[in-house]
Amino acid sequence: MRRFWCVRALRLLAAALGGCFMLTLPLAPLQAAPQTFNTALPVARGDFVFREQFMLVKSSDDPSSADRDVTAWAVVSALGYGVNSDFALFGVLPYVNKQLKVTAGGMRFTRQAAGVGDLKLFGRYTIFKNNAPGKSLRIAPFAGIKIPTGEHHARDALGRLPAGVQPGSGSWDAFGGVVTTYQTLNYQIDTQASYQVNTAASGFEFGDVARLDASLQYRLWPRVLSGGVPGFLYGLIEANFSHQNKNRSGGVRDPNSGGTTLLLSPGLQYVTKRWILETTVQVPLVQNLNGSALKNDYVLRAGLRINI
Amino acid sequence: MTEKNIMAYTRRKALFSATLAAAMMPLMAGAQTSKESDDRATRYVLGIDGMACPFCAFGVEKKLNALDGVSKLDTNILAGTVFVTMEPGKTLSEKDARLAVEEAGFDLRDFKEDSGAS
Repeated sequence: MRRFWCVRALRLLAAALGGCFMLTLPLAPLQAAPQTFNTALPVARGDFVFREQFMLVKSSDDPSSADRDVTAWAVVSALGYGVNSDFALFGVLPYVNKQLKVTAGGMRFTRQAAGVGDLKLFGRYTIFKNNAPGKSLRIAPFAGIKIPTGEHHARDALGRLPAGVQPGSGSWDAFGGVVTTYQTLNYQIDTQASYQVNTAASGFEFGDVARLDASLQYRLWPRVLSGGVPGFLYGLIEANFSHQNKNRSGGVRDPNSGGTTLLLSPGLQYVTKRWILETTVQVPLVQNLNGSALKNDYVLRAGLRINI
Repeated sequence: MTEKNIMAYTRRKALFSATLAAAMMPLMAGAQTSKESDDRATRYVLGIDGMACPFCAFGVEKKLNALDGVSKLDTNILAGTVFVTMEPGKTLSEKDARLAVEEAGFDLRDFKEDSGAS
């Protein structure tokens, strides 16, 4: 009898999770600074910059009866190396833990996966720089690949986990863009435009992602600079626009995936010569998602950067 | 030997000693100046363009610290300057300073020896 109910529950779940298998978790790996994207600031020749960032992603606003609830966290390690003063190489490797709760057949199920995610490697080359006393303007294109180092066949008692819950995508993807940084002693402005081309793996393909990011950091303390190199406390505000195409499964577009989002991210950053402490919370301003694609509640980030 | 002769001898001896001392004085003074020069640390002022945050200053300081003979750095981020104090007897060339600053991703605006150094 018990087995009968288990089998029935699994069938109901499989039907209810039709959209969930296409679920795209909003856990895009970060690349460097300011907080949610890259920067054009230099990495000195032969030097390293290490960054560790903790992310907590919460998504629970499900319009469907499945009442999906996603909690995911990640520890993202990024290492930058200055090949020379203009060219830097970066590697970004996340460790992710994703948990999906879903209601099916009147029962609540939890599906979860954890492990190393996909590795991103990219290079950034400064094609323009204009240095002046206390200020700098830099423009740097970047390009790289995402290597499928994360598991994408993770299973639980209910079968193979949805693609969005897998630690990795299984696909080799390419991305590129351009980042601009204008920095003065009082404030810093960063902008980035980027595009990621996703490919298929195991019959599933995440939609391509276009992003536009902008960040303003303003020095709150010390209000007046006198001499030496004091630590700077920055208040920051970032805007993160992204558009993702629909995912494809077996060559068919998933109508409940992809869409357009605009996140606003206020935060704080304390900067010294050797290290940076930073935290921000991303809250959605606009979420025009397709079908029943799951919306973001918030993304919390806290991190540390170290000059090596 | 009469008293007159003794006085004349004493005067000549004193005159010889004074002449000798006068002749030696510049040489001794020169030696002293050279020794003081060796003990004095040379200091340079580097004006650096593009250095606009503490995290950036680290890269510049690390590159300058790696240069031979650098003993101390004092960075003023507001003025965009780094005072480089050398070890006694060591000097810093503008070429080396420029290369170090550029390897950090910045530009050397000014380079001069700090005349106020002690």
